[in-house]
Amino acid sequence: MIRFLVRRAAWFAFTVWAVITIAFFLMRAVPGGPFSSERRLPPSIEAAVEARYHLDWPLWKQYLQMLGPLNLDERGWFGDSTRVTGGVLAADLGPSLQHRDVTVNEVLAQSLPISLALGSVALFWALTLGLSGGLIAALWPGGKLDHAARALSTLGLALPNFVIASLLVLSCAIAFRLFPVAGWGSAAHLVLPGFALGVPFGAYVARLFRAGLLEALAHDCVRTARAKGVPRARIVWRHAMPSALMPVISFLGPAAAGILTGSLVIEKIFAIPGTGSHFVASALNRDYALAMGVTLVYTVLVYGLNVLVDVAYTLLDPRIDLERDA
Amino acid sequence: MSREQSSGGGWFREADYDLMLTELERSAPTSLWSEVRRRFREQRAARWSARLLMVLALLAFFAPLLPLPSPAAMRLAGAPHAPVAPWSEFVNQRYEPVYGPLGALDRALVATRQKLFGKTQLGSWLGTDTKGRDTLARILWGSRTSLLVALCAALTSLSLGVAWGALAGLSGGRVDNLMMRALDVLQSIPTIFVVIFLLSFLNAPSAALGGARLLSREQVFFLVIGAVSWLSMARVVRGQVLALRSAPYVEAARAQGASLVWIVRKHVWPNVLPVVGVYVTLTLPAVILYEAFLSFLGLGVEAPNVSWGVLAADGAEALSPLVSSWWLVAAPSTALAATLLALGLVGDGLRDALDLRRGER
Amino acid sequence: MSLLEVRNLRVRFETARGWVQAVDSVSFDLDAGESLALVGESGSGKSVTAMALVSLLPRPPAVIETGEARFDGRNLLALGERELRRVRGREIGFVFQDPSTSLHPLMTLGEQLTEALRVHEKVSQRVARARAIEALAEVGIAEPDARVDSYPHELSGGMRQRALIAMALMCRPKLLIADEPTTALDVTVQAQILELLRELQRRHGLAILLITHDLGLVADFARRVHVMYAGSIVESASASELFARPAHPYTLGLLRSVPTLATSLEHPLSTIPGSAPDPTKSVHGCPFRPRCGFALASCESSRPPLLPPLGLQRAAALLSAQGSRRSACFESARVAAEART
Ligand SMILES: Nc1ncnc2c1ncn2[C@@H]1O[C@H](COP(=O)(O)OP(=O)(O)OP(=O)(O)O)[C@@H](O)[C@H]1O
Ligand code: SF4
Ligand SMILES: [Mg+2]
Repeated sequence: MIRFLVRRAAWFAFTVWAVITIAFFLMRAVPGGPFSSERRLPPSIEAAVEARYHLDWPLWKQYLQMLGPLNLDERGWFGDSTRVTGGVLAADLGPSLQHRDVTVNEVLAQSLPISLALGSVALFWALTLGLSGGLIAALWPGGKLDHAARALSTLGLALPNFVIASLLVLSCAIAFRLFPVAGWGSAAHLVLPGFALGVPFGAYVARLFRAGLLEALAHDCVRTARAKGVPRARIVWRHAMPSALMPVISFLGPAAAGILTGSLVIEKIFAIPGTGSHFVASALNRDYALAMGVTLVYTVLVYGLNVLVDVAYTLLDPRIDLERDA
Repeated sequence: MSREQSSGGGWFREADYDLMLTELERSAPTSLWSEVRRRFREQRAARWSARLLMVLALLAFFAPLLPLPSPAAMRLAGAPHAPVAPWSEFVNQRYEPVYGPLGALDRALVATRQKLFGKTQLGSWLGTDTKGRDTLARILWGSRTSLLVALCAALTSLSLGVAWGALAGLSGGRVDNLMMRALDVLQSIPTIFVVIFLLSFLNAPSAALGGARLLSREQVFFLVIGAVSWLSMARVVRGQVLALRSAPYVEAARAQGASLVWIVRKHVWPNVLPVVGVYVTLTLPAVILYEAFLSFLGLGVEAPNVSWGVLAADGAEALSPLVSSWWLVAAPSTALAATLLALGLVGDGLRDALDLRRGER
Repeated sequence: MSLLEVRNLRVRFETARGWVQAVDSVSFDLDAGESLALVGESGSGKSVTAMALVSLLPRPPAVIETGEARFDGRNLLALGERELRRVRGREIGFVFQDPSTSLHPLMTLGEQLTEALRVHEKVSQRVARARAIEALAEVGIAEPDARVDSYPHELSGGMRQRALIAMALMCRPKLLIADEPTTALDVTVQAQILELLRELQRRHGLAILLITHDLGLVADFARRVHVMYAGSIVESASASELFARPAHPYTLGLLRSVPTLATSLEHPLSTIPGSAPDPTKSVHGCPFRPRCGFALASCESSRPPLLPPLGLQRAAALLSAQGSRRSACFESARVAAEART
């Protein structure tokens, strides 16, 4: 168990490091810098600004400073004695190049909770719709409800989240004025965006869950349970459900990744000041620090959730031998 | 596939891949093709979807030839115009040729169109956007982007993906291991973020190149689509080849001294083909969605070119509680949704026809 | 009165290829504490017969056309789902063929064992657990108090089958239906499991309906044997009679395909030629005719009824006091005569 977790953690750390490194060198390899393209600054000022953000340092030094663990601050090498470490390893992402006088940490601290809230609401919708739809469809396979649920899930899978979002805005918010269409502030602001973001995943969950339930209900061990006189409700709940949930659980990792990606679009449509909006903007503006921060956050989230789902999966299925499978 | 590496890429290809592997485990060797074709035709939804897709592809290809307004011609006064029903204005004479840079074939098509129809163009059946550009024309021209993207993805996954997977599966051992590791690495990068990086960095005008771009945005775009679309296909093909290699009847053939080429032609290829087919039908909607997604974020095709993602984004932008230009949202959304739905149904139908989903009915 | 009286049970499946008469007019009796074997090759309808009794068949496609199954005075086939549920597990226990798939892979043995108890009797978790451990011990599982918390994959095939038997007996049923309980196991374990069943039967006065395709198992297990072919019972006799003097060509074929000490060069093992009839086609005459070495022209025109074998009554009466043997063959006497040589 411990070995399993350690290995997962090592993989995780390696991936994060690889992504940071690739992102860093990709950003620097491309011509143009944060202050070179649009705003044509006088050379002297540009030099001063670049010096302020250490853009005049050699690349390896910038990389080390960004990564930590050495704190190569203004005075070069090891900096002052108060802070020995810095950079990513100390969770310090430095100042934003684009937003003056704001650190990347501050930008993230402000926007990340919003994105996470949005993601949670989306996940909630996905699971609620998906599990209930799949359950209803599987309880009466071939029936009217089953057909309806399957048609809906096919539709939900086919509709991109931004289409759903636009349609929602069009119908719900403008025509009926039920929920706010845009902006941020109250929980009600999250209902529509979360729904739009969650629906495609809900559709997929419904499919997975229906197929899983039907397969589980046809399994020999359900016949054993019936022969014991176990009521149908308990068979569905206790016997079929756990097996049917396994594929859903393993889908949660990719789903979380998809929801995070999807939030880029949804935040744009609903004008939600989340992290997603910073992602594209920072890349376009060559805000190296912010882009790195956002990439890092997303990688950690996507990977962290995946590892979490993997661990949960392995724990839930007693047949998986952790030592061997790790 | 080790599960830890499965988080990159489009979520839905990954998940579908898993689902498909379970289906494959249940599937018997493929039945006769004629049988498959018959069973496919028996499915009404899939059949109609296939027809719809065919019509859409034709419309997309011949869009320059149709008597449409040109997609970039603006009519600012009073824009956006609401849809005009075909029966109140079927055609008008306001056609002006305003096109972006066109390829040779498209130029010829446009020239033919001008000869055929002159100044005649269809009325704004689907309204115009905020700049007075005709929605129907833009949707049809936009569908060409989707078609191109689909072609690009299909070609890379059919060539690179199949070749990679088949090679890995057939060689086995260390070569296989190495090739799969490479896939793992490629797939473990959260693609969407790299894509955004690539797009935003690679195609920005650079001072070093004298204001020119490294690659045009479209080039980058297709590069990216191609690069991400073959990974899962390689995995699927490899898995199938590997399973077939150790199938008893293939081992028997090998024991009797059948050559590798013969085995591949007689046993492996016929059994891999349906899987490849099904997988293409899974890949296409995913990349079309991907394109729309990137375009929506402003990272896809650039004006004056259009794509459904761009149209949907414009529509979403035009939405406000005051002016509801519903057609700007509804029209591209419907086009996109109908196409994706049709592709999904064709895929489902194909899977049913191949009997890969017995457990799911 | 018998514990279980099955009369004229007919079950068919409605499939895409037309309907399949899986069970055709099956009748038998089983007394309390008695053991009865249902023997036949694969697809002969043994499992369907057993599962029809407690409505475990998937419906659709299964349809129970006619029949009656009196168990303790009630007709099981007329009971509603709620009453049936009270019979299943509490009065009739079931053991299935494949112990590796019949246990739930994600539930501990303990939970699966106590489930029946907690469904049928109001017992506390603690009592149920204690009884589960007791039951595991009774079926001969070592360290039952540790095993109660294991998952099925941690057990060997034989242990899983023992656990399944323990599970079926948790509520002390009067009847145990064991559907090929040993088919998936290797030979030594088979013998152990059968021995265990016999032991439990003695101890609890359990009636056992043993389903198997292996006549060899039946010999010293069941008092009465019913041989099934293509959905019908073709021969019914006490075990000793059946082995001494089979009166149906199919039984004779089965017996000759069982290896015994007597198998030698003069009496080589044989197999029954041909295969079971296509169940979607209804047949005229004797269903065994295409494979029968005794067939005469008359066998083609009408179906032989299940009757005391003609010309054998006297011999049968000598062999068994009950004299209740029956065979569905026009040529029973010839078959019996052949069997003796
Ligand atoms: N769910 C079903 N759908 C259709 N036909 C079925 C179904 N279950 C059983 N049958 C048919 O019923 C007949 C009897 O099957 P049954 O399972 O009773 O055989 P069996 O004697 O138990 O054989 P085995 O020794 O293989 O278990 C078979 O011919 C089979 O085709
Ligand atoms: S009735 Fe005729 S065909 Fe049928 S088993 Fe007897 S001898 Fe054979
Ligand atoms: Mg059976």
